[in-house]
Amino acid sequence: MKNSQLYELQPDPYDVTQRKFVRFCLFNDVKNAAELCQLLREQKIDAALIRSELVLEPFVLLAAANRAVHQSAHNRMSCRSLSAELIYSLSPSRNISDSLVTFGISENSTSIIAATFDDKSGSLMKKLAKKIKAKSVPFENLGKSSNVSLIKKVYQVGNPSFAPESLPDHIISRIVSKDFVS
Amino acid sequence: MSSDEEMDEGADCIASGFANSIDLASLKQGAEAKLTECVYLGRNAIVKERFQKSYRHPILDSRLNKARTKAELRGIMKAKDLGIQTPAIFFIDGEKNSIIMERIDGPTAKLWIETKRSEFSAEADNNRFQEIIRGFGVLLGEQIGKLHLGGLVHGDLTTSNILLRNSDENLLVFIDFGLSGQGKVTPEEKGVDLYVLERAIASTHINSEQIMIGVLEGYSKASQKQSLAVGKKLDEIRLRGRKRDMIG
Repeated sequence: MKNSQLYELQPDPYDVTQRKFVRFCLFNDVKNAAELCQLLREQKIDAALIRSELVLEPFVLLAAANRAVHQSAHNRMSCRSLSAELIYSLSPSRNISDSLVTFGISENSTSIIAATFDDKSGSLMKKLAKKIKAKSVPFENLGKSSNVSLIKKVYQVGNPSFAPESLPDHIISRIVSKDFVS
Repeated sequence: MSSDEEMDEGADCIASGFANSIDLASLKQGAEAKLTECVYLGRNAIVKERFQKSYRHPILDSRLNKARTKAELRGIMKAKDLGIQTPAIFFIDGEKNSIIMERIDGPTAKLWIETKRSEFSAEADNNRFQEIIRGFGVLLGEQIGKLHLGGLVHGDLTTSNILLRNSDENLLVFIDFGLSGQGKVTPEEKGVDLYVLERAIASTHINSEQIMIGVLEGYSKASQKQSLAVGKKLDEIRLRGRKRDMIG
């Protein structure tokens, strides 16, 4: 689908016998967020709808997606679906419902990232896009709408003594280590 | 076909710049873990895998590997919170006890010191060399002081476990937190941390007493109070070694 972007993941990094595809598409000017929330609750959407203002750059999203597909490949998912696991994987918190509320679409969202798995042809994303009343924009625009001060608050990076360019690294470290730290 | 018109050229290709690759030839094996250079989702990285040790009892082995992987992650994250540079963590496999982390571009402190030594090898340059390593010690000591003040002991401080990002001695990156401890950290443990470093320096670098002198100077910059308490312990430890007396 136009403007969507396909990425390849390895559920077990460097084990080339397994591969998994994830497709992302960024939507701006979303007009029917409330309706989308409803569809998600009714499980009529098989995709992850993510608040784009909390995502800093593609690498963060991909590291979270890789964590999600790894957990799924080993039957260790914390959530019921891979899409939910992706949203949970973006969060520094181990509280699932808090994570979904914070990082998932909300009724007044205007900019979201849609993610579909195993969608190499793009047909899933195409079907999904019909339900989203919004403008899809090229994926390179990810990060333009991110809210850095909110991101810092959510990931609790108040520490003054580190360089701004290391913020994504800090976030990824937080995400992937959450099951092992504390 | 109408659907073809919608197709953006290249949109259905796999995005470039986020590939994985591994360089098996770069494998380095220590007593504890295997290190392999790799690229993870387009970023230079390193895989650290704590492999099974067949010489240990299987249950003990798996517990030690788990505990050390966990201690390493906790140590790295705690250090980050304290404003100490550590590698970013990209991926963890809790079953294989492997961690994919950022590859730091730069030499180990060990290599850096020895490179400086050969740069200033002329007799006349010796004073300059002593100044340089002392200055390095001060910077290192300050960082260790901060680490200790935050309640984190590294557990295996050596000049091989400290990297200089871009060869810059102001950008020290601490690695290998597998033996780190945190929580209620006593002056004794902090003293042992410094003692281990002192012994490591003495056995890897000749004529380098100035490093440790610098370290203690930098250490007191982080906290005068901590430095006094730990200094006292360090003197005790020097007399008896890092293991406590078990008599009585």
